[in-house]
Amino acid sequence: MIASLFTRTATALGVALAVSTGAAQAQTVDFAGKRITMIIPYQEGSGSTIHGRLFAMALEKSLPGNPTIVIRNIDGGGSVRGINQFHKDAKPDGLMVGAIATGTFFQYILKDKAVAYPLPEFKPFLTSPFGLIAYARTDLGLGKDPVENVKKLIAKPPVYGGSGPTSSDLPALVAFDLLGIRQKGVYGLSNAESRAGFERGEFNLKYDNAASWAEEVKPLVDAGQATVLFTFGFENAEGKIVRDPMLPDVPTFLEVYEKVHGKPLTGIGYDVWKSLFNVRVMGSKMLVLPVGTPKEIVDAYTKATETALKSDILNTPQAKLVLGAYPQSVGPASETIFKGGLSMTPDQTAWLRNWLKERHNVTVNLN
Amino acid sequence: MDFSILSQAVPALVQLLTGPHLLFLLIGVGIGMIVGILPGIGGLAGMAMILPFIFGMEPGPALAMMVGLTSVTATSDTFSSVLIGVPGGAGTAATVLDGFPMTKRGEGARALSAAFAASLVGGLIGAFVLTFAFVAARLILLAVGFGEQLMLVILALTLVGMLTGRNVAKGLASCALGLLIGTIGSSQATAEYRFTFDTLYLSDGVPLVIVALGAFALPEIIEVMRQHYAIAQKDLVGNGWIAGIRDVIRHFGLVVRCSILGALTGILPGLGGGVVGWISYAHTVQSSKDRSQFGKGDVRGVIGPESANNAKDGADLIPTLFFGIPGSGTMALFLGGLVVIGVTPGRNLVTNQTDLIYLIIWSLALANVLATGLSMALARPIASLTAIRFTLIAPFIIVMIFMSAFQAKGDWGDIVALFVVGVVGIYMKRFGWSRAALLIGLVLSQRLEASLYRTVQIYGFDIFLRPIAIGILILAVISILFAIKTRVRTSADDMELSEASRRNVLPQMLFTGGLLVFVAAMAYDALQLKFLAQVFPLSVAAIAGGLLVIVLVGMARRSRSPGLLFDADAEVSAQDGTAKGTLFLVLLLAGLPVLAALLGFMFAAPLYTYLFLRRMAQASVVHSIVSAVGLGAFLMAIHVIFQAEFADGLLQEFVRLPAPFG
Repeated sequence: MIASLFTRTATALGVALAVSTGAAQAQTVDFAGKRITMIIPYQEGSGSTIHGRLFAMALEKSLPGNPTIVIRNIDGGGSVRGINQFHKDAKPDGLMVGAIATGTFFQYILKDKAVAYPLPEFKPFLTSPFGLIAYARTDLGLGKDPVENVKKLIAKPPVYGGSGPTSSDLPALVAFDLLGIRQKGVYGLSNAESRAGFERGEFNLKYDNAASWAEEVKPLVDAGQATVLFTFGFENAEGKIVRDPMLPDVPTFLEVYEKVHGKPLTGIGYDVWKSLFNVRVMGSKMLVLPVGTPKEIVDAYTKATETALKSDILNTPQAKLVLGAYPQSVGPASETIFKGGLSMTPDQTAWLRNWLKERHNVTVNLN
Repeated sequence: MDFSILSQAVPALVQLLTGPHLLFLLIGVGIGMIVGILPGIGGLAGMAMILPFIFGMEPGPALAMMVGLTSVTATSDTFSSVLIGVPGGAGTAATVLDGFPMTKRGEGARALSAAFAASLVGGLIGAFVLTFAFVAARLILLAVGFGEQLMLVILALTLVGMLTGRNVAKGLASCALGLLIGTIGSSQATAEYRFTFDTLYLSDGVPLVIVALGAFALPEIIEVMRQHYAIAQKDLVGNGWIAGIRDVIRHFGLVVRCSILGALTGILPGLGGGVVGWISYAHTVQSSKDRSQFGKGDVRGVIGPESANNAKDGADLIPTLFFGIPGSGTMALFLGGLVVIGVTPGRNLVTNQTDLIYLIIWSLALANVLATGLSMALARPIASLTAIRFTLIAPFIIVMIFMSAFQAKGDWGDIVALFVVGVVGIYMKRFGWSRAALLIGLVLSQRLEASLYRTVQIYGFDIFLRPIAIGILILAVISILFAIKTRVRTSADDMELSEASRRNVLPQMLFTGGLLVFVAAMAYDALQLKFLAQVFPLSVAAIAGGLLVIVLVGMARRSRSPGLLFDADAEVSAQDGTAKGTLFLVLLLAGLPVLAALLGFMFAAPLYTYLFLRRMAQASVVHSIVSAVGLGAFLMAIHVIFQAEFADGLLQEFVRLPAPFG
């Protein structure tokens, strides 16, 4: 019995190894027989892990030499621990890939003293955008019209549950604040925990990844418990912020702002919001190579990612569920988005620090 | 509640038994058994290993494989808890308390068999509860808010009353220390760092598994090495497995109660898996008439936690499948696996894909039966290892413990933390401080602080208007009264005082003083923070400090209150002059991390094993070399198959070596 189990396991492993090593291709960059490590700075089961694993599986097939890609989750410190480790360990040989996400940018932009990685010098080869959607419970007396609803929330501050002002919640919290909503915050919660609290009515304001709209938010809206306030929108190829492709009927934050305040959002408030939008929506999840990686290797990854995006693995319904309806950016296009995420000026950073201090009593540890 | 979906149960069973599902279930169970039995590798590594293979599989067989794997590790990791005193995690540490002493008595096979039989019943009850719970899960979620979660944590905390050991003040102080250690890391409310010494390692707190290994495994190893020839100090008793099954039949009521307790703890949000074993252990002690043998090898202390741990696995699936809230690291990966096969946890799954739910439930039940059969068959041969001369197997166990610890965060901090906790644990054991209370405090600390903060923010005093919260609070009060009543009744026969422990009280006072300094330092650190970040650690530090002062004063006055003055070293050397001192053994343990710091773990482990076998066990050169090389090959295999990483040393700073050497 046991012997047969062992044999079966061994056979399964053997077959898998045979498939993954495959035949080496004649190219300058060749990973045949190599083991590539992908560092994911969040927990197993996190959105970044699912995204990273999905691409790892596809890249194993499309990178020259069909290397094995192993996933290493190093979580902690809002992704800082994992990315510090990535920067420290990775050699510019293409054998280590870092998965960076919103937290990596925010901690860098706010210059937390724990940050030991030179973010702008990383070489991105893929960016995956994810839209955001803000919603509230109807038992606050809200109706169907988002503008009226926001006005009601301004008059009667709701309770918000989330992970905290220096986490990936930052853009949503700034957006609420710009609108004039002065919600009370309960922090330190995972997304699933705060969603449960929202369903119980303990919280009545929340935002979510637009990819979880169909599964998690829509049922609440259909049941009449929740109503959608706005999406963050999406930046199209012309650089214009348009409605989110997953929810074209819902107004964007900028539309709602203009209707509530009678004028469009301008000045430093807009600039900060736009910088945060660049990171949180357009560059939500990225895969990068370490500092100093030669162009051939970056190009090999770019090409492999292009192939991977057309492969079966990334076009199954499951993959579509993970990636949403958003266009993926590869190579130079992802570089542009990456740079956009780093575009915050010293003025804007100062505004943000001041806002954190005034509104949330948070002082970021400077170097 | 709509029970009509129960009608899909039978077709799901037919599907499981006919299609390819059964084969994949078997593969899952096989992998789960292997990763569970191997110390240092757990369900998490197993899940990580199969995840790439699951992609592209049909949801049914993939689910069968994942469920098979995750549900048997709670059974198979019992081997190391019972036989070598190395817990697989914070939850299984409760099994060590009585399981390991049974092994020392030569009854390892009986303990294992009782554990497996209890696991089987627990697993089946867990699957049964899951059948009904998933119909009512959404109602449960809506009823148990943050306020109710707070009361549940308080109820769990009152169970410490049963686990304080002989001295109440020392026991409660241990628990308070656990609570205080749990506040290390970033504060939930303000994200400020507490007591992290500016290290990123501590920014997320001390991992539970490190404390479980440090507080239990290392002190037990030291204890055996100190004075014994083999783990089993007597001849192995009989065949064992019939005796174990008989134990479970005799205590069947206990098994059922603990299983239900385990299932409930898994379903209710707010408590988490780490505490299940302890809750059921405390209940076992609470509900037993004769408590004199607990901690010394009472089979009930094995049966209770083991049935609960397996029942919990079924229940763990509820928050995972319904709300996407994983109760453990393994469940987090399970969640990842679900997404990979295109099953999104949430409403749609539980309302429209009930066939899959039943497939999961049946897989769970069947996997438990299979795992029990396999484990029973292996119990006797593996248990016979405990009769081998201990110095011959000790280096392997030490290597495994340090290796397991490093898998927690893959950071040198893991090894340092393990060693620090281990040394504290060794002295806690020597001086009679309850390590169980410490672990309970630690497991509950973050949940207590978080739910306290959330409840105050959301409800304020209105929490006392919520009937369920009040109900749980009343239970907590009853639990405290019960603990006091028991204490009054039993303390009379706890008066057996040994003079050996009282002769030199200085080491004990120094240790207590050291704990006090730690508490004071934590309190000082907390003073620098904002109100929301400091209120909890300061309150706990005040309680811990007060208790420690009481203990110190009592020691200085050479008080005769039970268990206050206790020194295992003094007791042993009073009986046996040849026993080795604690300090020598601690240095012996330190040898491995020191070598690893120089050469990296992959070189250090075989070298340490060789030196240990030659010096300590006086083994032949051939024996030592073969053992060292075998260990190296084993580590290599673990690296290749489970992608385990090992600690780097100074050598790797200068020389670049291929994985896993560098």
